[in-house]
Amino acid sequence: MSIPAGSNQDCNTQLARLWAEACPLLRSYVHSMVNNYEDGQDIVQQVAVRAAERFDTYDQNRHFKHWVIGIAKHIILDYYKKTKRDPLILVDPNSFNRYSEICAEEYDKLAETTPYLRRCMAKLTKRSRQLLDLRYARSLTHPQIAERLDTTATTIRVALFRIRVALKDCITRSIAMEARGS
Amino acid sequence: MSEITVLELIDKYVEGCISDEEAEILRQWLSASDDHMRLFFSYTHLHLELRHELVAEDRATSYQQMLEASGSFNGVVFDESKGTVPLQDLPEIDVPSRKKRSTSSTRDQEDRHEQLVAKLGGLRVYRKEVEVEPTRRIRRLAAAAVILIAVLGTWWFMQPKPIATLAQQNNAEWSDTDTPPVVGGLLANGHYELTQGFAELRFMDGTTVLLEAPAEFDLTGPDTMALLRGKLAANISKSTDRFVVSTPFTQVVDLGTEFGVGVKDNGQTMVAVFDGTVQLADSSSVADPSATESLVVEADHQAHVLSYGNLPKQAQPLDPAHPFTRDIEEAHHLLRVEGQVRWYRSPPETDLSELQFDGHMIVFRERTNIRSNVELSGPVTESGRRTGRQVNPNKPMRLPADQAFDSYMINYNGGNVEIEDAKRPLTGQITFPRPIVSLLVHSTDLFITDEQFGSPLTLYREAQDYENEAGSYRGLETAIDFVEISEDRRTLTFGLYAGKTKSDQLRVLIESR
Repeated sequence: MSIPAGSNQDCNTQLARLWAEACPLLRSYVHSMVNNYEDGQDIVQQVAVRAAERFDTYDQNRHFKHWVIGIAKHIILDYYKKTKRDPLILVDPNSFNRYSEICAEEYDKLAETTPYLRRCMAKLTKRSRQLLDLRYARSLTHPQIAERLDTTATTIRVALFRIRVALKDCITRSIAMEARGS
Repeated sequence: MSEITVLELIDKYVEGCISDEEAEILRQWLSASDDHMRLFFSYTHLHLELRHELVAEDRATSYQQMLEASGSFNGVVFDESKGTVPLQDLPEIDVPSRKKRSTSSTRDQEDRHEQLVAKLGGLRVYRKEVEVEPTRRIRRLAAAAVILIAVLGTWWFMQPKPIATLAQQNNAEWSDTDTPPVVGGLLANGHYELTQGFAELRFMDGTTVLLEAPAEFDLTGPDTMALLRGKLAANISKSTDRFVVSTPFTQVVDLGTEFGVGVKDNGQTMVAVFDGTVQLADSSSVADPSATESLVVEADHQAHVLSYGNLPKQAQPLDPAHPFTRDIEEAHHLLRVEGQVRWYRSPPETDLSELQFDGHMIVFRERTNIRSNVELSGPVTESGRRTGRQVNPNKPMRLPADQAFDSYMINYNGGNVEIEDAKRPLTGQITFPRPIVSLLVHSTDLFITDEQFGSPLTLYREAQDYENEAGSYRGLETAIDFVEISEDRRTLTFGLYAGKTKSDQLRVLIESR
């Protein structure tokens, strides 16, 4: 069923609301499929454009998040065709579809971990925090960070990996402890 | 694959440095189960969340700085509904140049996107065309020249430069199986992975570094290297001003010495100093030996760095059971392992009974320099061949308290052995660097020596665990099991018959250095 005919303003308002709800999931989904951050952002923008163009075909019986993920899937496939690279998990259509379902199911749980991430980040050592700042806030590459810290790019890659794993473990522990406490 | 291995592959993927082979492994792993997909999604989500959190904090800081600064304005995107800052009042912000956007970001699409954004949230994009002044052209030419110099400098830096010679190796295998380093050959700056055995590198000034597999390292300069995991023992040439070993968590700056560095898979670093002194420093202070965030470790002391940049307050006395092999001579002796036995360079960090059978027994060094006067019920101490039935458990012997031993464990675990394999004994031969003093072949002797001679990293099952499993013992019990100590007491030949549900173990005590 298509959305009932209404004023353009109504449609825009409804699209804006649905988009705002689905956008965080879509971003996580797209960036998990496309590891280049700028390219991932481009794809999210393209999904937004296509969703706006085709909003009159959106069936309200479907979840909006599933609809935009369907759009994203096609755009991601086009992206990989253009870049002539193999996607990580889109080679097998069944895996691709299953992965998309899992992302839609799991996102809400993941979104709830953000406060725990902040708490765990606050526990990091000064140096670990410095590494994360250089990597994410300053968008420096491993070789650039290595040059600043007078070490090697591989050392930086490994150190960042260990910090992320430590944060992941910290989040898991914090959630478990809170669950036990409650 | 273990979770940490998988996470490292995912991490390489999110960082864009995964190889085609690794991507294929990850692809197959991902499609194998829903749980794998969940783990993958949660890790990539963490990566994205970190970016959002840190960029948001950075923006908040930058905005504060922006308010304090002054200058002209290039352009800004803002939300009219939240109020705006007048264009002329916004200061110039030094924005790092962004990567060229992909082909999909054409001007046409940007315009469509702006329309959409406007449709969605009432946002507007303001641009101010800035005329390029002559002085700016000159600045751009200068910037181009700087970039050219930087590119040439990078090109020069990237060229392979000889750093060290592979002086000796023993039983060594390298991850680069196509063109592995050869003895006597030069090693250029770059990344290396020693998957098995020992390799001794000799730097141009005479410094030697003995690496013990599994080890991953970078050669970075004539007096610098990075150890990413594994162990090394360095003997620094007297003609060297300083030698620096970087690890994921610290930097070890030699001050004329002999020392060992060990890096676990989780990055934790142990530094043991045998002679002279070393300075531990965090990454940023290494260039300044007087930096406050450093720790001097003197001879016969050791220090553990448990997280990045988190140096201990003081060093501890050197544990005599330190895990470092200090010379290739010892490595040579250790590695004469033949038959159906495999040498583990590090003690397994697991329950021995859970190791999967892969057609081999395993042997690993458990401890070094241990003294104990424990009374044993019947160790084998003489040369010659004996079966399990011929070794008498009622020949008590007390170990001499004044002698130090190194202990080795030989382990067979028949958990998943094929029936055909279980019908015949597995045999092996090991030549040790020094004479065998005692061979512990009875379960009781193994149990009572686990605490003193067993590896602190390894889990040995206790006696009651075996009592619950009828017919399951640790030592030699059958007529098919045999041990043979050579005349010079350095070589042990052995055969272990262990059925599908059993495990057999031998503990070998040899003289310490």
